[in-house]
Amino acid sequence: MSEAPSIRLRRLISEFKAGALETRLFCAQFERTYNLELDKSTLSSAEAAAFGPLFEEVIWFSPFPEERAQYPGYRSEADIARAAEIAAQRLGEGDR
Amino acid sequence: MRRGFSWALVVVLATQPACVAEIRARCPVISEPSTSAALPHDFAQLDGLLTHRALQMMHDVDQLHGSATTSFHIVFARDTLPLLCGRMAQARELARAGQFVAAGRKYQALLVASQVMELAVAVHAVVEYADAVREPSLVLVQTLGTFGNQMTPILEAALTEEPARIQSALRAQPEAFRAWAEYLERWSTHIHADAERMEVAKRVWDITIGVIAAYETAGALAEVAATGGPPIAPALAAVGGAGTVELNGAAYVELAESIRRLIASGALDASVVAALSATTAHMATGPKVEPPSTNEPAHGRRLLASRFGSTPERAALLERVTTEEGGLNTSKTVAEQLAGPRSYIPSQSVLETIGSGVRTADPKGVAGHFMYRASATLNGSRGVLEVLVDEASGQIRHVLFVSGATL
Repeated sequence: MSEAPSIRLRRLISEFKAGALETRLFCAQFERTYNLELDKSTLSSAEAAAFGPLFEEVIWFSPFPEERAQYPGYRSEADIARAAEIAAQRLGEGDR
Repeated sequence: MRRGFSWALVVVLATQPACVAEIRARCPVISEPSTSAALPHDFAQLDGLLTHRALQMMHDVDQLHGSATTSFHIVFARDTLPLLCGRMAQARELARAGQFVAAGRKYQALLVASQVMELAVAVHAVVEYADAVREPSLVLVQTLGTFGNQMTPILEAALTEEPARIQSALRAQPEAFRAWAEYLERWSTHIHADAERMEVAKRVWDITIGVIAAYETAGALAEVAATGGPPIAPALAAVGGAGTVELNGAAYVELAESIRRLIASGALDASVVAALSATTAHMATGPKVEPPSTNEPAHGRRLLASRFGSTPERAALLERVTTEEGGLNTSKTVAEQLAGPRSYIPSQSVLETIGSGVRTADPKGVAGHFMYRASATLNGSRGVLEVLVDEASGQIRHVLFVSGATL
């Protein structure tokens, strides 16, 4: 049985925070799952509050410092790490 | 209706592939096998070839789902196929009623029109794949432009059903069908097209080869008849070069024989068959259709800009967001995304979105940047394609399809 998209998103965040996923791969997988596979109407309010803002960050990830300097809308590895931490906190709060 | 046909051949790119999956090409006339059997034998041979082509085209067009082929898919299903099928029904009725000359005129016009459309389907199948693997947009546009320029006059002439016009249009494009079939084969190999696209391209090639054999035989006879030479006996042994017999040699031999008899009876026009034969003939000098040239970058960029730009301002911007090679001027970030996780977004859709999408200031508030947004669908899921452009440099800095979003 395949993993439900919301479960996969939680796992991706967990693996990324643990250092098991490189930023570029985490962003690509999170974006695809959230954008193209997830039925957003099935999310709990905590999940929606965690996943939505994180999606808005990962889609702007750029691994190129010179391009982040040219366009400040791009996000760095540190930006993504911070956003993932916030998402994890929101999920944790929702699970209590 | 003629305009619809022309449009079907030339205008093929659109951003919004919405509802394509719901549009299915239908041809009621070919689901009447019992009535087909009542046709005189020689007309039944032609009818069989047309039925085969229509079924094949319906199948192949149903496989076209990319944004690069949306308009073609829709026009083919709504206009082109119904028109061809309607004329096929008329041709059958005339043949059954014993009006063989009138039936022959319709059938020979349909032979020409269906051959053009069959090639058009194959061209679009390869274009769709080429777009997906990021062949430069300029190459796609120029390929379709060249195809439209060459084939539209032939199609329009076929729709008039006037033998002299059809002959003249065919004679103006010697070797055109064979050249395009060969070009498609070369192009498919060049872009490493997937098995399915290769199959479509090869199928038209196979069908063309088979029909070539029939036309060449019947065409040789037609040349003699058209020039007032003496009647000659059927030379069916000449049909079936190596490539022909492998496919369905017996069927093509029979088709050639039927064409010969219909010419002899006056039902088919000898000059039209001879001209059709000439368009498929192989010449030692090789095909005349070459891959579209991108040697004139300024011209190519203007072509793309005029193709996709809805206003002079948008066209000017499009000239800046395309490279001299006809590709997109993107940041490295976007280039990496379009080659990887966002590879499902075709370049054509990006250009169309910039050319006619809704323009707003950058949501992140960065000066000089503007977001262009247009409705789009992906695998039936509706959403919005958004493209962020630094308008001064023309660099595209963000491209994303957002599922579920609305304008």
